[in-house]
Amino acid sequence: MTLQFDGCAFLRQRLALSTLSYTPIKIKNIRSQENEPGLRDFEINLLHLLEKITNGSKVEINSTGTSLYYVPGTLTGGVVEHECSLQRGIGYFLELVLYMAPFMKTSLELRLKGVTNDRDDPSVDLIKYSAISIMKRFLGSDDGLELKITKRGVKPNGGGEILFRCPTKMKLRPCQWTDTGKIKRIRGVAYALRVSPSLANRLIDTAKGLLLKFLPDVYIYIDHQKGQNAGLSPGYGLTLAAETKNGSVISAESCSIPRAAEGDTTAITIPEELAKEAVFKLLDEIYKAGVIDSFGQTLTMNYMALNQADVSKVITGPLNAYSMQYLRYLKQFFQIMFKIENSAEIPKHVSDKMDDDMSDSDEERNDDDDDDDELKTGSPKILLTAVGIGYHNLTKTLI
Amino acid sequence: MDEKHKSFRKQTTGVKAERRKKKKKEGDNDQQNTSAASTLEEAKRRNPKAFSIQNPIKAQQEFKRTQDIKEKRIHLPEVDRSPLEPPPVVVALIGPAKVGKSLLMKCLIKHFTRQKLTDIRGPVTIVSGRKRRITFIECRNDINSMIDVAKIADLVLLLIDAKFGFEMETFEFLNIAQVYGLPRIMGVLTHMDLYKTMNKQLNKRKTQLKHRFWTEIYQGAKLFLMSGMKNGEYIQRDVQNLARFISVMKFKPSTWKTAHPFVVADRMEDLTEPELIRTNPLCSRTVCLYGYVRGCPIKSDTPIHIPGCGDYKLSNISALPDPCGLPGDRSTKTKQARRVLNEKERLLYAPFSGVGGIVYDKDAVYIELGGSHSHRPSNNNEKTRPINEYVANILSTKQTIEEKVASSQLKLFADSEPIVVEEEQEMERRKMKFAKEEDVDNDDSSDDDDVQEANSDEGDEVDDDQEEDDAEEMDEQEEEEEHSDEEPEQEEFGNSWKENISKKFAISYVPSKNINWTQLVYGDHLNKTNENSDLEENDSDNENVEVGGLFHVSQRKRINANDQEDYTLKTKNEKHNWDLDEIYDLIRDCFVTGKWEKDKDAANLLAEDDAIGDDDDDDDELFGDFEDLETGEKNTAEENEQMDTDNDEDDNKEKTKLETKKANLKSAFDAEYDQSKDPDSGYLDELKKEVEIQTKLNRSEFENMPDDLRVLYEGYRPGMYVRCELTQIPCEFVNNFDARYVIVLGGMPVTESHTGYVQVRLKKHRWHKKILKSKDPLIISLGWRRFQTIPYYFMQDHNMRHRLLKYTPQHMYCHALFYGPITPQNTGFVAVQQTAGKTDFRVTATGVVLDLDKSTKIVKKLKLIGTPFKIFKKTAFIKGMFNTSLEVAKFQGASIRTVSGIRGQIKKFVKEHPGGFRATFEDKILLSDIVFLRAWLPLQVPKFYTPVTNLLMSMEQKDQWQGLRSLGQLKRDKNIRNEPNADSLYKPIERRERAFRPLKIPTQLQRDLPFHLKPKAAESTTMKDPIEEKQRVAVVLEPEEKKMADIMKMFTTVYKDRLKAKQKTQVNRNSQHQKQQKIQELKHLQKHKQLKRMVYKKIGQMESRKNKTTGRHGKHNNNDSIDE
Repeated sequence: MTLQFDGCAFLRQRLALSTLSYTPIKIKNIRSQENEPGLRDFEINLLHLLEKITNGSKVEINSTGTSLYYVPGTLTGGVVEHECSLQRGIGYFLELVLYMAPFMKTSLELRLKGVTNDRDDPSVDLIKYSAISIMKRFLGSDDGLELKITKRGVKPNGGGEILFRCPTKMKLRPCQWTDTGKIKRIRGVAYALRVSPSLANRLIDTAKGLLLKFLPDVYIYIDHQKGQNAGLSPGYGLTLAAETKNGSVISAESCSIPRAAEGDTTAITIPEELAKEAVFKLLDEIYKAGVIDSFGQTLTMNYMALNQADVSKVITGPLNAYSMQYLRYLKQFFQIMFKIENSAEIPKHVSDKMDDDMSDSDEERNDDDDDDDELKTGSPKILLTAVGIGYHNLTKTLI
Repeated sequence: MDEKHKSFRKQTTGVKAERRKKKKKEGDNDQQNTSAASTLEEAKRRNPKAFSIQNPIKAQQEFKRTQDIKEKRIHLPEVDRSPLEPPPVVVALIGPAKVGKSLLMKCLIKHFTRQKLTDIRGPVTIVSGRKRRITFIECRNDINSMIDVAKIADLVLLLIDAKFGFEMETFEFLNIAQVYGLPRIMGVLTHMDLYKTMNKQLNKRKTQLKHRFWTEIYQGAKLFLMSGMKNGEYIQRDVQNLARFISVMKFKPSTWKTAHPFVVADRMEDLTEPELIRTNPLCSRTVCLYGYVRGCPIKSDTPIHIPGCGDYKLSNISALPDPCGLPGDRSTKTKQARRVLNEKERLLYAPFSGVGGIVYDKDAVYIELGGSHSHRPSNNNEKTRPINEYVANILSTKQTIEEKVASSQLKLFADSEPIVVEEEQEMERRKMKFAKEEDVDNDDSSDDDDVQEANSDEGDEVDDDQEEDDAEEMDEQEEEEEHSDEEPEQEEFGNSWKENISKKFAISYVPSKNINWTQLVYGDHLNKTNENSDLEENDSDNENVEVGGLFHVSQRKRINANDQEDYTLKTKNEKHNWDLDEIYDLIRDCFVTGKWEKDKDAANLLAEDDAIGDDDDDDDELFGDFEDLETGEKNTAEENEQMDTDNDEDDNKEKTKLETKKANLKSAFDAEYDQSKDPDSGYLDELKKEVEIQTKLNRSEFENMPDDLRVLYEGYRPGMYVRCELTQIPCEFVNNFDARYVIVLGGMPVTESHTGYVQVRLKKHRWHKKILKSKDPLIISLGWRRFQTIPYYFMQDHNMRHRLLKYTPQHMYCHALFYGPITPQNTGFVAVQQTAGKTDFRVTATGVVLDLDKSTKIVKKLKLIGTPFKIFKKTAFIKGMFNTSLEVAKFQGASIRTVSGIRGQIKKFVKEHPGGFRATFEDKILLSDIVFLRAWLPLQVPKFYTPVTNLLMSMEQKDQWQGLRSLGQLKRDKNIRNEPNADSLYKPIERRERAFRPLKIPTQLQRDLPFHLKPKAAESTTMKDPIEEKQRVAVVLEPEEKKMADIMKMFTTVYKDRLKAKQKTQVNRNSQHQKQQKIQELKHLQKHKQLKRMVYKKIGQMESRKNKTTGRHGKHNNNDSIDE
């Protein structure tokens, strides 16, 4: 039953699916061709986190670190505290947990310490905006679901801390989420840590200036932390989220380049530019997104697959490589295939059968010839349809 | 029967009669009271306050009860996942041996199909009606088969020998079936003909059996009678009755069945190459099993468990045409014709029995010749195989030669990567997309950051898919124009990075609508290239590093595609310039400020309403929240103009529109109104509606898809006839194959195909005679699996501690933990101790799964005992509890206790005694006290789990197989007896008589006591203290003292002697004095007598004289008296 993989790519996806399906995995040739072969510190750290939230899992790493054998245990959850590696943001670690969080034995209360915001990994703010709204759909309610940023920390020294709470569910709810809805407001957080708070104001000014062209309802909060709560390194950034009328959230972010190490010459970030970058990223996301943004794609697929044996439907933008790989892995681990259609191509009779909420812009485009021009809602959307595998939480105790 | 009996006369006297009278009276009163009641009602209406709740607690209880009952009636609505064309219903015939199972099955089959089967082996599928197919299974009379059949049967015909009565097997089966969700059960009484017709005994027997049957299932459960035999068959009328019930019965599958797919195999073929078998007869086989999918959809690669064989993976599954399909729709014909099956439609399919006509394989069609071949189906297949296989191979090739060439690989060197033709193809495939890439470049050149862009792309990692494309928003025309130019260019840049970029753009922005996402994601070869393509990247910085000025370190930075860094969102700096208006325009309508769809646009809707007219004013309220005023105005203006021009044509349209709108509103209002009637049902109604929508969606989503595509998404639906290929099956499965044992391919989700610790709630069956012992092996049937394992029984204490039990409780639930397959919570299981042997009730225990984990929490109580060797006030030194000071250190601070209940704490080890320690107690303990430490020892449950493989055994073994023996049984068999602990043995008890000290009362107290309570001196002198007596010390006197003592002794002796003499004389004197006294008294008496005589004499004389004077008679009397 053991599945074999090569290389370190998509490690988190493999680990998550392995744990959820109780299938042992063996990964070989991890960076075997590189100058520094083997698993990196943050990957080891990730495995430690996985060991903390599971019971009976077994990890075997060879002496060079180039091969990994992982036998998953049961997901236990409970109160867990973990010091994340500073090489990667907390988002890297939290994302793995998000996949598995509803299937714990006892509800999860996870405290992660490390880098909350950085340029490479989705920041905790982004996850809060994007993932929580998705999880809410699939869990049925947001009762007990919480992501709190108690301290912020940026690279290189981190010092941030978050608290993630998630209830356990016996099974998820299928979700038909096919109406994008119009964006009604834009919210955001601008944070400035160990730098002048005016930087945050400059961020907001620029961002608002750009966004007001689209929408009048823009509000960006300032999160200027002091002392301990500001982490150990200076930095600032902006996370933006566009909320639609149907409750979906599209988010994007940008963060300052970490303080240069000695002797290194890195670009200095100018707040105006950073704000512009964040806004452009958000607009890009809006251009691409369906009901979910590109971060949420994988998570949504995960929950669609690990659902009851019912049909779930979700409209997304073009799939990114990460989520495409996840689809492949889902097939490999769970034998589930997604029906992927360009939502513009859906024949009318099919869409007619679906409920009213199914009728979205593209359909409208087809049958209304007299309409002068079609709606400009960005890139063509994709309709993902899947029948859940009938996944049950096998660890929850009956009394 | 019809003779007239004397009717029962009711008693007119006695308690019952009185009670009856009373009741009658009350009834009469009630009738009279009805009029009174109506007035009461009226009064209640008039004055409700007077009749308000009198007793709040009672009212509360009543309310609670009604609500409880109400709530109990509600069931959580569930999505109906039953297939539209269901698989054949499984009807199992179960009963002890010689009860007539086979005969009944034959009769039923004959009734349904008009065919007579002689030798039935394995399941028989028939078409019983327009919409129903039935699979008959005869269950063998062993517990393994019964368990398997109980899991799959929809309907059970429980055969009972009326002459013999109920047998153990019947009840065993009922108890097994209850665990897995009771199927429909119908009883069939056979051997009725052994009774003489219609006598009293028979009727009595019937009712007796019926009532016992009812108590076991439910009151009024169907029980059929096979009243007799005719020509070696049951009477047709009886069979007909039974068949009618079978064909109209409805079923509700259990939750296990709705969540787990399974196939009841009705055909088996060994696909192993004959050559392999010839060289190694014991080689593992590849086996093909056929059957209908039941339960829920099954997918390829799902884990499969064959009960009695083991766990496998479904390596290949394919759908075959239905060998026993339902008759087609004949709706055009008359009603009668529609209902009745004609001869052609009465299909029968039983390959194991050698019936079934045409047999389809994946790639061939076999025609069963019947007759002489019918009893050797396997032979038949073997004969046809080699011929067919060759042809079949050709037929089966679904790929064209071109494709084959494409998929072939050429390896130049042993360790080099195979050259695949596909790569070329892929290039071809990419051409179109490359065009866009070119576009991009061209377009970018107009922008100033063109060069930069290209460079950054060059330096890109493979993770290109996420990258974004600047100029994707090109006009389609432009693309078309440049389409022709790009081809030569593309050939120029044959570089791999270029290819990737092209792909990247294709993926990230989907410029054209015709990108095939399914192919992109799931297409195999594309996948491979994606994963295996290496990118070489020359890093200029690292390139020319010199070592020692002599050697170049040729550093080639190879980034393997497999070694990409794991980033969710690869952030890159290429962005649209959203400042530009045309780019901004692209997402204009994503915002509420943009344009809306026609049916959602507030202005549009408003305009429509206006057009409809003013008669429904409510609409404004309904659609009041509109945002687009400006555009709305425009729209209405336009519409008005239009209306002017072609008013007449639109008139009808408008009318119909209006009508539909009104109807919609009305229905919405009705729905709301209906709902508001019962305020409590709102939530439930909503749930129901949700579930209904989901059910509809599930049904409709893949409805119009071709089957071969549909199975990819949904799996093979229940009702499909499939061919399941399994590899690595042990050869015994084929060699010892017996179709009479039902073969089930039980599918399960991936998550349930591993093992762990299973915690269950368990209860020993009340009919099983012995209680169960921890660590004794049990055969458990849980989920699809039957396996042997070693359970530990335990109880959950109030603090959630899992305390080990040596034995299960007699009549109570306890928990058990064993190592076994992970099965979802709430799944029932049944345990037996042994499958062979039929003496006792074999169902040992039943229960339900509660928890699954990878570790155990069971603990056993452990008391460590020590004795004090030195005691100070409240401190004591204790030894014997531990062996080393290290052990003590581990338990420092632990609480300890003496037997008498004095609590204490371990303080620190002491050096003089190894394992000794200092402890403090709440009171002074005695040296004789035993001190103990109560600890809980975690136990390891042995990881023993072996599936019972009865299908792999030979015929003789099947009935005799015994699993792991229990410890007790092993000891008994090997005659091992444990030496008992001498201390544990019982000995006669010797008790010594106990002597108590006398009660000593302090003098002070004595003085205060009332007299009657005071100790009496006499008592004290008489009661000598035995202990003091013994302990008296001999007194040795000094000579002086002795002399004195002697003299004193002499004096006392003399004195005593004198006293004695004195006493003697005194006694003499006293006696003499008494004598004299007596004499004197005598004298005195005599004197007195004489005097008396004289006096009387005188008196007499005087009287006589007197009498002489009065009369003779009197004289005479007087004389007499004087004489006396």
